[in-house]
Amino acid sequence: MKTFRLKVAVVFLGTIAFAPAAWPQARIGKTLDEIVKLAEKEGKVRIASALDRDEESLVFHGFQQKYPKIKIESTRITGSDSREKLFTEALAGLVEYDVTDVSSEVQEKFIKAGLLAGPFHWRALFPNVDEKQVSPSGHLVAVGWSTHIIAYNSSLVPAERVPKKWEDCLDPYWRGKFIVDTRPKTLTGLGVAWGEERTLDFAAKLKNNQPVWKRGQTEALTQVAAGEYAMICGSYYQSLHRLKRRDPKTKLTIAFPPEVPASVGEALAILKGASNPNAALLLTGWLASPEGQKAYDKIGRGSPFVEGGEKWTLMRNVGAKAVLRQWEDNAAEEALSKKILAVWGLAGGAGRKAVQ
Amino acid sequence: MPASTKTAAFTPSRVFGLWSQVRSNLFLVLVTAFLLLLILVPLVRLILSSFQLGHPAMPEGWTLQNYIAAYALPTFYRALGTTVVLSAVSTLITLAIAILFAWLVERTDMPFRNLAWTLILIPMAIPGVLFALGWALLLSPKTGTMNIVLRAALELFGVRLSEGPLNIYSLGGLIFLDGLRGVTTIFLMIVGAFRMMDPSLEEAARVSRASPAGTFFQVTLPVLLPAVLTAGMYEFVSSMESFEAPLAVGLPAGIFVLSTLIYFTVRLQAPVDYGLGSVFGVTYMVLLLFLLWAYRRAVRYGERYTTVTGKGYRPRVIALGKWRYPALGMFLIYFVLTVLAPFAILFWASLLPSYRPPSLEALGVVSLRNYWEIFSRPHFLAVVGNTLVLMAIAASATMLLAFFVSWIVVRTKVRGRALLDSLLFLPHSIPGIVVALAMIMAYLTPPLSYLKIYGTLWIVTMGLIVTYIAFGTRLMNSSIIQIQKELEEAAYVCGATSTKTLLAITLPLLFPAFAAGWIWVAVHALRAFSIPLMLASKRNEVFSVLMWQYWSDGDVALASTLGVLLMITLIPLTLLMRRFIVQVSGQQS
Repeated sequence: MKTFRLKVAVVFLGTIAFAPAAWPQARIGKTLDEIVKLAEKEGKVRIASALDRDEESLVFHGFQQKYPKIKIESTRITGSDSREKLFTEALAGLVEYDVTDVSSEVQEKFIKAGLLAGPFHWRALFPNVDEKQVSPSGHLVAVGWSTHIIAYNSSLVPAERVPKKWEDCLDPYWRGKFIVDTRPKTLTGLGVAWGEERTLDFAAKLKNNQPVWKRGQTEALTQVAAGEYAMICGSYYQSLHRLKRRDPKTKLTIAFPPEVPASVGEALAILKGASNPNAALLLTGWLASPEGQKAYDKIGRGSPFVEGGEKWTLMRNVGAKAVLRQWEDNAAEEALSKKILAVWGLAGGAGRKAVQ
Repeated sequence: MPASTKTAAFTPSRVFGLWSQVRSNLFLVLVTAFLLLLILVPLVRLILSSFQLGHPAMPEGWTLQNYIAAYALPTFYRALGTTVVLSAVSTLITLAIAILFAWLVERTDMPFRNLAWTLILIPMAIPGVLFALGWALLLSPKTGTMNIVLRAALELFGVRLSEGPLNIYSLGGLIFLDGLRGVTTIFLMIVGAFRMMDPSLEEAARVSRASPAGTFFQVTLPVLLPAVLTAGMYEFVSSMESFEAPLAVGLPAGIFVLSTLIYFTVRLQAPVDYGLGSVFGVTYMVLLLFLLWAYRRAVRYGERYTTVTGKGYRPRVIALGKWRYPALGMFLIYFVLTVLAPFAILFWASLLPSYRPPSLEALGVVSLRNYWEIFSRPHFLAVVGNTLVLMAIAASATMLLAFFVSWIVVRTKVRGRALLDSLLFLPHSIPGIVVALAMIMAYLTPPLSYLKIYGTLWIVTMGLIVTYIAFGTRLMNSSIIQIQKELEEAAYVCGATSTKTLLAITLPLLFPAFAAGWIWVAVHALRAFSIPLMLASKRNEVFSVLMWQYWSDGDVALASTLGVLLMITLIPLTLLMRRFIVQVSGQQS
């Protein structure tokens, strides 16, 4: 009897310990036709992205018309915290989504931990996807683009003070009245155009102008729109676009400085262990296609490099130029990010080494 | 020690003796092992993580540099200083209000004292985060409703302001919120001392023609000083752990306290830094353990200052005269500030498509659409289900565990039971945010990662049990002592087993205390914020976390709608808890 109990215990513990390795992996199609067939059989796809409810209907509409048999279950995730949480959950074996937006800070970690399915030959499966949209490793595909601008409340900013360049944020007139995001994506983007030295110098001067530090865009923009603060030095075009769609009468206004940092704002990847990998591939491929990109343009997340696109047109009108941070720059971006945080005196800025 | 004795320690007979001891105390061993797993393992893992680089699940090596970097960071010292200043000043405010209220309720002829009791208890039902969010809407410098009213009033006197005059997003705002929040607890802690103090000294002062105010400051207050100091120290420790208000109104203003610095470092900041976060967590824990030690020392010598004697007469009631109704008015103002005003503004916000201050124009867009919207969201029912399950399991598990442990501590003579009791008191001084961080570290790494509970409702439940177990055991310890041991012995004589005796005799007799504890934990689990927020995933989201998500995503209307629903649920539960606690107090007095 005792031996029997021992065996049961061993089997039970073994099942728990090796459960993830024993999970069945769904078959992934080799060609687009096969993927479509398998995706329709799967019947649904669970996606985690930055899209809110209104944006979902605008972006997914075309896909739903083309593939009506595949239901999309979408969850909104925002900020680096939700991406970090998602990474931690994936490490713990929780696969709640088939496809997810992986922000630049965690892309390497996801790949290194083996949490992403693939790599895939995206361009072979979806030939009309631009080469630049696929990450060098082949795990990620860019579908949304972040474009960094200055946002201000037109009723609080006099005409002569309307910002025209990034250095206008250093004007003592704005001391204590403007917001800066503690996630320094705008500045790391500027680093591509300016180089490290000038960027760090700007970061120090920005700090000296006593900005109101905030983490996250929506709350900050809501406060600028409500008139609590006058300006955000480094906001996302798409966040502002969303608020303007919700409230067309808002006083929020965009200023494009001469250098407009742009980067992949939404990089989708299929999670290892996803229960609907074919539907996830199909959705990702469609979103990255010109058809999907047009939908993204409608919500302010389109590429600033596509001629005739909304952002491209607006920028051309004021003579601004987009500066792209490439996929390969993630490591450099993280290093610069830490240096900026150190200049700002915020946690996360200190570089450390392990004892060898 | 001679070599022969050393060898004897490993003889088969000694090993067998140890095994038989373990077998005879199996229950104690199992409970202790479970508690170690629950409390100590995560804390040890947190300490280890503070010496590691990288993500806890993918460490990149050992280092001391986390400590060097953390202690070189000016933000850390600013946060530490702010935490201490905030705690000290808000404790003074809390104490002043609580002492005044306790005196008015117990020692004066203020009218409607029962009503005053209710008015002072209801704020317990308002979660800290909702209280802070309500005040954020009332006292935002430009758009806050109260500021708009104040500016309009000042304009009548020719003073024109473009913002303010008050700003909740400031250290003053934080002190205001923290100072008001703690009053109910401190009132409950000191009101008994006011009720039961020896009145002979006051009588003597009165005979000597001292004024009522002079008597209060020169006699009453010094006599009650030990009780007041103990309560003050408790409040200081509680304020040090404060998280909700610093997150809701401190962080947007760039004001860090230790709890929000940890949250910022391991959740909000990019790139997140677990090593640094762990150092902050360990430092925070050590600081609070020291304060707890000081608190226990203060309480230990409390009997030296006994003010409650065996004399069986009530102190003379002080006549307030024309101040009777203004005194009651103070309770009403407190109720308005802590419950009515935040509730009203959140209710207003819940009726709007997007937030705007109250005005006739805004009345045109008022509707119940947000309530319909909330209930129609597919995720909402899952969140309600999670919240109810969490509440029921956390309350039941905490109280059952507390019952078993208290029985071992109070009723048995097994060795190590005092240690067990101390182990359970340890989490009382560990802030929720640190408990949650320790759980993340522990359940993401072997061996606990094999349990696969990270991201589930179970890890949140365990976090809450760790936080509330100290309260549960204090309550059960004192209740078990009240029950005659003979009742259990009679059951043994009749042949009942220990388990049967515990379940059929002891537990039913303890029902009022068990129920009071259950409701206390249930109410706190329902309003819990820091642990569910830190450990949140798609699977285990609860009400308060969803509410915060809406708020931080700029959806004030939906956040307010959830807040109103949460308050409506919590107020009756709190009043029910008061009924049970009164019953338990009646039994124990």
